[in-house]
Amino acid sequence: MMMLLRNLGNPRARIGAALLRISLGMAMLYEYAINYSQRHDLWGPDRVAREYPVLEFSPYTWSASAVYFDIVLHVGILVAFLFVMGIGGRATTCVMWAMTWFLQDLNNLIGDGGDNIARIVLLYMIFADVSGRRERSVSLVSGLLHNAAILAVVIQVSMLYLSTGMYKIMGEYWQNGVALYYILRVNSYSWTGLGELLYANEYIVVLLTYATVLFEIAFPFALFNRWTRRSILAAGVLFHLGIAVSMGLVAFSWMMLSLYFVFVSDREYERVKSLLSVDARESVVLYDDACGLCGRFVGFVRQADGAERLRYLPLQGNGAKHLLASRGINAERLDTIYVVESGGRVLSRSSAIILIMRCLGWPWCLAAAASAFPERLRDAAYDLFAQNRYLGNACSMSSRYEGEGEKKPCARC
Amino acid sequence: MFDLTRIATMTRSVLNSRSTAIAVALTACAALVIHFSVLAVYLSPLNPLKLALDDEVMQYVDPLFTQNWHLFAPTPVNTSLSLLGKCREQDLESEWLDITYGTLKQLRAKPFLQSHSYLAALQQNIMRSYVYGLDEPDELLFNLCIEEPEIEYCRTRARASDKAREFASAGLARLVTDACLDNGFPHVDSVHIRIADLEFPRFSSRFLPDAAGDARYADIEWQPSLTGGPRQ
Repeated sequence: MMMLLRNLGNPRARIGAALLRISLGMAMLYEYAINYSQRHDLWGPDRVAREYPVLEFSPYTWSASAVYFDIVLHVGILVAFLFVMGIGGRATTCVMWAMTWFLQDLNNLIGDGGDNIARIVLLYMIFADVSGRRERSVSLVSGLLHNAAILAVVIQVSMLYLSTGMYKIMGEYWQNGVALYYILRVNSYSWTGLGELLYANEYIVVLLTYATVLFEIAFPFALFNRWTRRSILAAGVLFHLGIAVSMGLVAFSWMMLSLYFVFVSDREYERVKSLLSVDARESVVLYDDACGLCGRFVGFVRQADGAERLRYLPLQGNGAKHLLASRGINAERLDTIYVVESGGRVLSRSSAIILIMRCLGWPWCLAAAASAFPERLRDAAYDLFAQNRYLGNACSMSSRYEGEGEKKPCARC
Repeated sequence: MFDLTRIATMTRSVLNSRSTAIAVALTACAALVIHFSVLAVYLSPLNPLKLALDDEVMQYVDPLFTQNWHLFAPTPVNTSLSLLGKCREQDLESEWLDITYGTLKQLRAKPFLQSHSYLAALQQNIMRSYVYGLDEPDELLFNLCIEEPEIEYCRTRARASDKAREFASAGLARLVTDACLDNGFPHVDSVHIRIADLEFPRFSSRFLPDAAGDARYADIEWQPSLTGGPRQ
């Protein structure tokens, strides 16, 4: 029994919860910032929607003074800042939820689905550990509450998609595959001008209309299946990025995508982190010096490697030949780049390129995403380049290298 | 007076004790099951269970968990609403001002400055609320309440819709008054509001311009202007 309890109370998705906190908090700060100059029209005592009823206990209603309104609004901004910074723990989350709710309640006419889900999820987050400090031990009870809160976020988002999907399949326009056209043509969503490009093609309209319904209905089922989870999350990211770009609903997409952080496990974040960063000190890059393309690539790497973590040797040199021969590798093969790690491991072809890019830090380390493709496929693409590497060679065979490291300039290009 | 270390130790041992953990786990499970069961009824399309439990469900959901995920469903928004207004100041009367066009034009000119999107949403939601009442046009509700207007569910929604229209009317007067103030009528005394509901060409005629569609108009005749205090 105790084992089961400990398992249930072992906090999950702590990194995701912290990222959700940061992203949602920043989205709220963004809303405060872009509306700052029109805050009185949207939320002030003389706002456009002032006739609509508001919560009686909201601190915004305690005075009709514009100065008092500004004070409360700035408290809200301060709380959002503390929330993003992770200062104040659960108390800040609680106040953040309340201030968000009170602000949205002042003018429900400007909120969209993103604001709606943010308000609900912030309430669940009060029970979660959103600090992101995984080294901090939590009590069994806190762990149980944290996991319940994360589960609540996951179920809430799943119900959101399922609900909207169920409504959609009942609609004639959705069944006929043309709903997307009408949405993109409405004046309040067509201002981006991208909708016009999309709905000009009937194949795109039908495909995207059906894909939307399929995605929303499938989401809750695919999310809980280990084989389909990543695919449905990737589809969701594309879906919301598409909405942001084509319909101009930036804040909505931002808030929805923030929720996706809790769908990724701590282990997966660790994996991504290890993919993006690498300690490559003393690693040596061996490259074909007779190939202009390879030389230019190495030149770029040298420039981008500000920390100078890598060293470079031409494959034609004795140093490289010795290094490879001592590891049982045919040193005469020039059709691949190599990285010899300080630990002795030798990487070649696409794996070597990925390791080099990881060494270069942000944003080049993003190339590590190529690891998601099978090595055979990556190497096939690499070989295609390697076989044609002398085409348009900027530099023919350069001088021979006997020494280590430094590349001499080409004598003649 | 207080031995804080002892209190902390006791709290820690309570929070890690088996009996507390069992109680919390069971409570959390029950809370999740009940909460999401109610939400499932609330978020489901119209059905007999939803109708029967509407009062109880709304009591639980409103205001903390209210949510609406069918803006584009079952029928997506398929008409463009535009807010037009005329201003009157003593003997002076303006031409029609296209307020929505002005806002969307600014949004298009500065797509990364999304502040105008909030103004656009404000206008759209007030107009939609005035034209369609409480909710978006939902065929299921619409048909049900035409067939059986006397059932409690429809009566409640009809009352809420009337109230929504009343609030929207005031909101529209304010939006038009603000537009008049920005367009050379600093002492506007009355406004004429018009909502143009444009049914742009249907899919098979999608290459035709918006103007080829049919427009319906909802007018709110001259009424006193409604200011929000000094303009900033």
